[in-house]
Amino acid sequence: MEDAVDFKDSERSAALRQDLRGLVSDAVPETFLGAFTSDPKDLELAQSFCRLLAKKGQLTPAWPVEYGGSASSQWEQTVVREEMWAHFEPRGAQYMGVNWVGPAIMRFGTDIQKAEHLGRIASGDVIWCQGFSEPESGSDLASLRTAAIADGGGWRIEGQKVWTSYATMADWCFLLARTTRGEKKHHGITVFLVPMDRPGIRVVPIKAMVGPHHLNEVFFEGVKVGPEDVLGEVDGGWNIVREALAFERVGIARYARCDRLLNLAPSALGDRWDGLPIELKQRWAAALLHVRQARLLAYRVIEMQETGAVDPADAAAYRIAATTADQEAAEVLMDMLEERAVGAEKPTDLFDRAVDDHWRYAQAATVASGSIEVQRMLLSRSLLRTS
Amino acid sequence: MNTELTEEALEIGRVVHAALTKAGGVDIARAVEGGTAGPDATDILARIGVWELRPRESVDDAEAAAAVCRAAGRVALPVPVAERLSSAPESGYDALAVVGAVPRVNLAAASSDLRWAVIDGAGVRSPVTSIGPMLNTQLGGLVSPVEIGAGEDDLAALPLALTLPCWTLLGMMDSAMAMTRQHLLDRKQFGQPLASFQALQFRLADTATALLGFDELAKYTLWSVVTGQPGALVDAIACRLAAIETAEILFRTGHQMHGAMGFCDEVDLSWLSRHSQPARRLPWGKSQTQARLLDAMTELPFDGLYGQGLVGIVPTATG
Repeated sequence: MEDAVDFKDSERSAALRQDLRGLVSDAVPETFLGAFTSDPKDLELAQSFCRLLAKKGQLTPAWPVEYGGSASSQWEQTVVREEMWAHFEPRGAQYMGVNWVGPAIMRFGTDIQKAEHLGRIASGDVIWCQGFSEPESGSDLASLRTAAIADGGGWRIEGQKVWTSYATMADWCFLLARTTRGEKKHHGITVFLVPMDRPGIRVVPIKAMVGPHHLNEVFFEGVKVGPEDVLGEVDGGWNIVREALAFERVGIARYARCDRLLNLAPSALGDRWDGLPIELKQRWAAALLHVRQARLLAYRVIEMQETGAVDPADAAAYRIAATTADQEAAEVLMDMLEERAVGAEKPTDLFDRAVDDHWRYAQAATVASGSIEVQRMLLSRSLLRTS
Repeated sequence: MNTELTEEALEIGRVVHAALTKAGGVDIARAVEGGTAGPDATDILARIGVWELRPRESVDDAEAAAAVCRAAGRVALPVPVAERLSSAPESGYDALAVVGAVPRVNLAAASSDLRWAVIDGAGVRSPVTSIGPMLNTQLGGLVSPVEIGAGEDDLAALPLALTLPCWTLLGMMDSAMAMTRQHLLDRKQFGQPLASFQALQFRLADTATALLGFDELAKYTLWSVVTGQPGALVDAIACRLAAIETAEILFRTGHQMHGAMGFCDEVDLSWLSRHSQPARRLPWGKSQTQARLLDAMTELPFDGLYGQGLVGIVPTATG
């Protein structure tokens, strides 16, 4: 007889979760609301926290041992994702390297590239940014125009990227550039792994409501790259991007932060909770329910990852549910703050500040990493496929 | 972690679906409502062994029962499958329905040979002493008022009695989704299939997401209920709320995409839509279920990753 349904953490997952909570409690101050603030100490904290996680083998548990992981299951990697996001991502920008840059290099990189990058990602020493979106290429990523122009034995990169998170602090860029102009826009794109200190790269931060360091413009002005910087095949970058984004399908456990903040609300609000309208409390309960559903949809995709291939449509359904639940929870929590929604009374009102931060980030949930409209396209195409 | 029902459970669901489809599918409901002799669906299920399942005693039987309810829902089967599978014959009743303040029970008169019992939201179970005539309305054609005798506490029976009808609704939604998808592919307007219009594609995507999310929640709730988790009852009420919300999305989308055709009784969607109503309105509609969920959360844990809803609130430093 097969095992029946079981939604409890395995013993290993439960132990890891407990361990991570202890680690966060010991190493991350209660005031921490992410690495990307105007206070450089927050980034320093994230970097040292990453190294601590790496030392304990908890930064990349699902990676193969040879690349610095411990070959654990995707469920344990999920526990890491949940605990980190719930606590305002004390890994800082590292999740990108861990979630998909590293796996993409494992899959497509040369031995030299693997040796150069994987160990550094697994040890928490390096920050990556992704050079994807451009001023004229957002959801339609394949229409990108940044050019890699043949120059000697390599190429010269000319162009501009935008909305590039962490570009001001990144050591490396996972860059998409067009090496060939053909009839089909998906052809002729190449992935380059480029150090951010290479001459000709200029980063211009963009002030935004999500906070500093999140949105940047990155200009590539005659940046020289060689064959050794190419990941995979020249002109074959689109396939890498598709696969890389597949690693990212359940990348951010948005539901975990919603779960934590919604559960904190009654005690954090204290006497104010009792005075809230019943309708708002019912919305709070419904938000908890929808967050649970989003979490279960994530687990559905993770189970698929564990047992076989994941259809992009299934990941898209999760993303639609998770991002809309994120925004629903954000609205409910802001409503619960009443007049304090526009500003905490005191800097020590940590819950109020956390809700403010969550709401601002949640606005980007249906835009970042593939808009909700793209997810709807992916899902509906799969549903309506006739063959 | 295992988020899938066992293959044995899925297989009995497939067998029931195939048997009911062979017997006429939604036409079984047409026959019952029309008062004409149709196939004996109760006997079909008996031959498959459905009535031998004991979901209150065995997790494997509970999974099988859930799969059977889903299969029955797919054809809006006018047989009280969830109610029978929630029962405890050894305790003197063969079918159990959850009722509100005014007890009305779907399919009671259609299976009046059963020893019916009802249970209210507080977990008081009472025998049905008489079954009134079917309402014969559009939305509750097979619903009957019932009279009940003295009750006794049986709170343990309530979570499963709330959960299995959610699986029946899930089956109805499966069919509504499949029909809507097919209609989008088949129906042409402005010279092209409806499926080519992005507004409709997006609506279908959101509707499918709601259905998938409810599907996973139904499995989670079944697990919580049959393994006796501390929050089983609050989970079952939450599942009911999600069932009502999701059914509203599914059938609204189904009707809108089908246009006027979807209201016609020759189209199965019309039957599923109407026959989903008793499960969505009884024992409690959406607002009452929302209110009950919040009430239940003050006494029982609604387990999340970081807390239990209103139970076990611990002031934290972040607060």
